[in-house]
Formats: sequence, structure tokens, C-alpha cells
Amino acid sequence: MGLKKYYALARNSFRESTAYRLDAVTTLLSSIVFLVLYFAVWTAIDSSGEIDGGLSQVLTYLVAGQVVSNAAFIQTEKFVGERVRKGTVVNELKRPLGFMSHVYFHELGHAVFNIGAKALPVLAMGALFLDVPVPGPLQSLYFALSVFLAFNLVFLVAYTNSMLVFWTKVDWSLRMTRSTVQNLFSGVLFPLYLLPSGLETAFSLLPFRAMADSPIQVFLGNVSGTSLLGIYGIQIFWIIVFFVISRLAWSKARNKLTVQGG
Amino acid sequence: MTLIEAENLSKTFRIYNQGEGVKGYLKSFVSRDYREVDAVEDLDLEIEEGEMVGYIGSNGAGKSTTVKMLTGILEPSSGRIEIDGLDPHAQRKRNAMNIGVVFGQKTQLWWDLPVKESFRLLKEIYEVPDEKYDERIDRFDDVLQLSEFWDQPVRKLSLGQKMRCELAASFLHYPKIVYLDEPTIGLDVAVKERIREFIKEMNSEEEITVMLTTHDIGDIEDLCERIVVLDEGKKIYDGSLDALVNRFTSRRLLVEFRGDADVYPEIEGVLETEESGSEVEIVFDPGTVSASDLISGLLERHEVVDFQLKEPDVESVVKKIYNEGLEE
Repeated sequence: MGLKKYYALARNSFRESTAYRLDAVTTLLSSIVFLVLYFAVWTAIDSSGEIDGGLSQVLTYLVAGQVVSNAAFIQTEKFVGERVRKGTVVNELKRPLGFMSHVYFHELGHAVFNIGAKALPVLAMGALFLDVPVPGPLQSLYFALSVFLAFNLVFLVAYTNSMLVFWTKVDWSLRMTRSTVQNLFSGVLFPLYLLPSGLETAFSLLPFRAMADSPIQVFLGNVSGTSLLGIYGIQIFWIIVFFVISRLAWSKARNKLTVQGG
Repeated sequence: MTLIEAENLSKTFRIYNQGEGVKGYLKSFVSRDYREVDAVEDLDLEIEEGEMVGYIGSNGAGKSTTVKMLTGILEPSSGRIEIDGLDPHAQRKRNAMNIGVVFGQKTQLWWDLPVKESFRLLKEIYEVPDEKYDERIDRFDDVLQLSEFWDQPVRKLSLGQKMRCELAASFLHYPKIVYLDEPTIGLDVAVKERIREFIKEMNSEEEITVMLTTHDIGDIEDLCERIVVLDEGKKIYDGSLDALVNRFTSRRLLVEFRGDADVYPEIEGVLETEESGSEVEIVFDPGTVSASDLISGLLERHEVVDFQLKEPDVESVVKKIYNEGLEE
């Protein structure tokens, strides 16, 4: 069984994203606006009191968060929603490939583009203007692996969420709800280590932490050896959980499929 | 060998009722009234290897729903399907290797990429070896002339160009069966002819079984020896096109007599006559009396100057079936 088909799918999807370069530019701009905003807000907070670990660590954390969220930027709800509403989902279903594989390699192709066009530029800007320390080669590799795991988890959660499209026929609100909750609980909006310890424990029990805070910890160099394995372990745990849930959701959704029109 | 076999196949959809206006809209959140609609009802179908079958019926008759069940996309509400020994829904991926499908109104091409990229992906998906791929693309190009827009992004193609691509894409892996759901919809005459030529060639030379749904009289006349007619989810005819036409058009004979002629009481099978001067148009039932018997009968009894047999017309038959069903 060839992997070439999956590669071909991801490659087409990558090439498709390059057709929407302008879209990448605007997303990159919004990331820059976020960075400026974070800088202003946290500098103000810093001047009015003390932040645990200091200002520079907060900024590094948030820049790393932007890198992760751009690399794992996933819009599966939109992808599935369009196909279900227009009925073109029949084109995926008529092929000898699983529906989830189709969507996954589609997203993977987009992700390769997003890393080059959004995540790395954000990192470069953080390093240039906010003195964010760029990790060394080995640590970068550990970080990349954690980002890849985060990508898979975000994908599975988004994919599970997108199965609701088969009932609701709308996708925008599903995607916005998911990404808002995800940003809030994952560490993209504010550093989770600043939470009071009770709340921090509560956040740790949710899957969202493994979507951004985990790779950020690796980026910051706070983990090594067994604690690094612990981070990967938690990420893999949630990937397995959502893999199972998403399979169940798909088998329900598939029976719900009616295929609109024509 | 029987390739496609469906038995007592039914598909029921739930249609949720939404009341009128804002009140109805709000109500639809709490009460979910629905009615059930039988898109396909108790359908039996057998298609042999190498056949080309036209599947016709008015809009909403259940043609597409049938195709979606045969391709494994939809699960039947009841009944059994076997495609080359496989259950297409339960064994969807295996079955998908054996089939090609065109959904005429739903393109599978990558909108922003050059045409060839969509084909390269399909080459990998269906595991077509390099030499075979090149050979087939050349062959498709001869009939469908794909090379003129091979490097252009799909969004720049005309409808006809896109449909030529869709068709080539569905035959790329030389599947056992190709399902074509309205392959000529909205196309001009020249493109339609090219597409029909291609389908015929693939069917006769590669023995690819073809099932096509269409509203196009030309498709039916040109391509299909056998047709299956569906009306409101039920199969109402399955047989040769000729037999259908003979059964549902009473045929017409235009006769010019010398002097007056009184034909109708004498020959059995004559349904009505219309006289204008010495010319009489005789409508007869070909099931009761053949055209030659009718003509020789007339020649025995009357002095005939000229006669002309009017050909049965497929279009009027199809129109009649769409409007009235098959009741006689």
C-alpha cells in the first residue's frame, strides 16, 4: 500500500494554499497585530506590578504560542462544511481512501505552507523585535515534534467538531466556538503558568493545554529528559482519545449523510 | 457475468417540516415534525458485464440516489446490493477501486491547480503505473483533446472542458464500472458528441460497464441499447429502447388514396384516422398489426398512390413517460 497517494494529496493541498498567498499575508499581519498588542498590554501590566518570571518570559511564551497556533491553524469545519452543504462530499466518498485521511492530508499540506508563510516569519519577528531567544538545533527538533503532535490533536478535535456539520449544516459558528475555547484554554491568549494553582490544575485536565502550552514549554527549555517525555505522553494520550471519539463521530455522521440535490 | 445486482433496494429520507414565518422557524428548534419520502422503492436491477445502461426518469425520480447507493456513498434503508461480489457500503474502499464516477454537477477537480495536478493525484490514488498512465492520457487526449488546457488552472476552463476532464478522470484507472450522473448536462452539441464517442469507445474496446443517468435524448439514442426508467422511486420499465418506443408510440402511416377510402373498420389495429382530402393519416398499434401487414392490407383493398411511414420518436416517448408515467 503506497504512501504516494497521501503525499500527492498533501502536495496538491500545499500548492492550493500557495494560490491564496494574500490570505497568508493577512493572517500573518493579524499575528503581528497580536504581538504588538501583547507587547503593549504586558508592558503596562509589568509597569504596575510584578509578573511571575518577568516580562521577557511572558513575551517569549506568547510569541511561541503564536508560532504554534499558526503552524497548527486548522479549518476542518470549513472544509467539511462546504462539502456537506454543496454535496461535493460525494467526490471524497467515491474514492478508495478514508474520509478522515482525505481531510488529514489536506490539512497537512496546508500546514506545511502555514509553517513557512506564517509560523517562521512570526518567530523571526519575535527574535528581531522582542528579543525572543531562539532555541538551539536539538531543542528546536524537540519543539518541532511537539508542534507536530499539537497539530494532530487540533486536527482531531476540529475533525470531531466538524462531524456536527452533518446535522447543523453550518460550519462557521462551530469553528469559531472551537477556536475561541481552544485559544482561551491552550495558552495562546495568556500564559497558563500565571494562573492560580487551583485553576492551573483544572486547565491541565483539559485537552487544550496539549495544543499550545505543551510545545511552548519545550520552546522555553523548561523541560528535558523525562519531563519532555511526559509532555509528549500527554499529547499522545489526548491524540488517542480524540482519535477514538472522531471515529465514532464519523460512523454516526456517515449514516446521517443525505447528500443535497442532484 | 452479472456485475451489478440490486434486490428490493429502498432508500427513505426524512424531510423535516419547517412551519411558516418566524414562528415556524422557532418552533422547528423544539418540535421536529418530519415526513418520510421514499426516494427509491423496492428496486431490482441486474446489469451484466460490458453493458451500457441508460437510467432515466424525471427530476427527483431517484436516479442519483440509486447511483449513490450503488457507489457505496449512501447506505440503503433496506435491500441488498452486490457489485462484483462486494457490498459497496460496507466495503466502500475496496469497491471504489473498481469504479469510476462522474457527478455532472459536482466537480472533483482542484479548482486552483492546473488540470494535470488533479490527474496526477488520481494516478496515485488508483495506483496506475507510469507507462499505463502516459498511454491512457494520450489515448484520452485523442478523443477528448485535453492537451489544449492541460496546464491551465481548472477555474479558467469552460464547462465543456471541465466535463471532458471529469470524464477522463473517471476512466483513468480503467475501472470495471463507470457511473455517469448526467455527464452531458449543459454542454453544446459538439462537446456532447465527443463525450459520447469517448464513452462508446471505452465501453466497446475496454469492456467497461457503463451506467448513465441523463435527460438528454441524444445520449439515450446514441449510447443505450438498454434503458431503465424510474418514476417516483419505482422502476417502471427495463428493456431495450426499441421495444419501449414501439410500445409507447402508436405509429403513424400517411397514405394518399385515389378516390375515397374508408379504412378504419376493416383492419384490426388501426386506432384512429385523420382525413384531409385524399390523404389519410392512420394511427395504428404496432403490437396488433405490423406496418407491412397494414400496408399490404391497404394495397389489397384500395388504390394507393403514395404512402409514408412516420418514424417513432424517442423524444416524444420520453416526454410522455416523464409526464404520465407508463400507464397505458
